This record gives sequence, structure tokens and C-alpha cells, in this order.
Amino acid sequence: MDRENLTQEESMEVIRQMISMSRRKFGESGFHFLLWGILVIAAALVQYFLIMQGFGPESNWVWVAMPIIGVPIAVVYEMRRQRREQVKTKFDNIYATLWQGFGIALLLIIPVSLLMRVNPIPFLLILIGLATFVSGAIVRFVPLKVGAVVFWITAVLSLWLKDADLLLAYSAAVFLGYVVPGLMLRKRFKAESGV
Amino acid sequence: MWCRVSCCASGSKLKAVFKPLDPLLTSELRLAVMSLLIAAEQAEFVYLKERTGATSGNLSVQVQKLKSAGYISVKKSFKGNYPQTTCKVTTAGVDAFEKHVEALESYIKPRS
Repeated sequence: MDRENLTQEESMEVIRQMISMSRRKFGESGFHFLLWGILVIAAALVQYFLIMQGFGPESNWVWVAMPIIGVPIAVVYEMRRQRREQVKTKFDNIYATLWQGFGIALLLIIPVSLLMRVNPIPFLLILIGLATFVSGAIVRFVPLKVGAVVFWITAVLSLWLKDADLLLAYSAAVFLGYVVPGLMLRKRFKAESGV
Repeated sequence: MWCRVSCCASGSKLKAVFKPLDPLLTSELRLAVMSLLIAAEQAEFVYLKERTGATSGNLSVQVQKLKSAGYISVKKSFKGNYPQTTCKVTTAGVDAFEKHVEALESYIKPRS
């Protein structure tokens, strides 16, 4: 590939070939959806069990364990993934920025809700729904958009649920909105990367 | 900049409008590198080498020319213990590429 002074047709052919060669499916493996989905479900079910055993607000501490376990795993995974990646597209940047913004909003919603003495879960569900919906559009994966709708419906239903039942509803929503699409994404990723 | 060229075909006089081509992008390898970076935004040198099939030496020279023209930025860093060169298309590079493609289209489909 060292020709100079290409003809117009040759130039267009080079552009077409290169763009077609670099076109790739968005490499979302579903890892983060599975990781956080499983951790959220585990935390919600453990807290539900504790409430059933008669524990009070101290059962909320179970949620602290979630980032302590999840963040190091997620960081190590991302570092390894970025080491493998040779190319970064605009979509990679948009996707990463979306979830960074989600993380910041999450860190704000929880203390603000608690200071206002309201349950943060419905607001979290709305926020998770938004991030999941946009992710579905970025990675072109409809199950994520469906999952987002499940989060939003659960947020509305939570108006009629008590705290313990809300935890069960939260677990079911995360299972349908994160774990199921995460498993489907993983299957698609493996099929595309020939693993 | 536009230039107006008159040409005759089957006795009828056609006027076609051609735009000037970017001389830097008439090289196959430089055009290929720009096309890859337009599609990906940012890519490692190794990725460009694999996709174009060029030798490291030739690719380095062409990447340097694109960098000197301000079409791409080149960042050298380390990935683990290995040196890594990352190329990224600049706004000037995107503009130049778009103008070049428009010019190519004007030659292929001349306006009457």
C-alpha cells in the first residue's frame, strides 16, 4: 500500500475498504451488567432476609458491601480490557461518559434522598432506567431498552410497595433489566468475537 | 476553492465544476490511515499497521507527514512495559478529509 497519486476511483475504493474494515460491532461483553446486577440482587435479598429476621435500619449497611466488592472488580476488568483494545471510537467515549455521569448522579441521589428522609430506591430505578435505555441505543441492543422500561415500571409500582417488598421488586427489576440483557450481551459478544 | 473546467463530449459542451484534491491525501497509505482514523477516532499504531499491511518504517513516515500537516495527533505512552503510539484525528484532519471526499465526488459525479 504505497501508491502515490491515486485516481479518484482508487481513492474512493481505499476509503470504502478502510471504513468497512474498521466497522465493528460495539464490543460490549455485558460484564458490568452482570457484575452489578448480581451484586444488587444479592444485597437486596440479604437486606430482605435481615428485615424478615427483625433487623431495622441497620440492615441498610449491607449496601455498603456492594461497592466494596464491585468497584475493585470493575476497575481491574476495565484496566485489562483497555489494555487489549487497540482502537477507540466515539461511541466508546460516549458510553464511558454516560456511565461516569450515572455514577456521579448515583452518589448524589443516595445522600440527598436520605437527608430528605425519602427512600432513594424509586429515584435510583428511574436513573438506572435512563442509563440503561441510552446504553441500549448506543450498543444497539433492544433487550437493554426493554430492561430500562422494566426499571421505570418498577419505580412507579414502588409507590404502592412497602420497604421489604420493594427490595423484592428491586431484585426482580434488576434481574430482568441487568442480568437477563447482560447474559444475552455476553452470548452476542462471544459469538461475534469467536470465543 | 472551485475551478471551472469546460469539456466537450459528442459535440455538446459540458461544464463541470471540480474541487481541488488535497495533495497529502492522494497517497494510498496516508488516505488509508485517515480513513481508519475517521472511522475509529483514535487507534494504536499497531492497529493501523495491521489494517493497512504497511511496513512500520513506511507507516511512521506517513504518520509523521499527517502529523506535520496537523491532520492527526500522535501520543506516545507505555502499555505495561511496552511503548505504545496512539494516533487521533484532529478537527483540521476531519475538515481536510471531508473536503477531499467532496472533491473526489465532484470528479466522479461532475456537476453540469
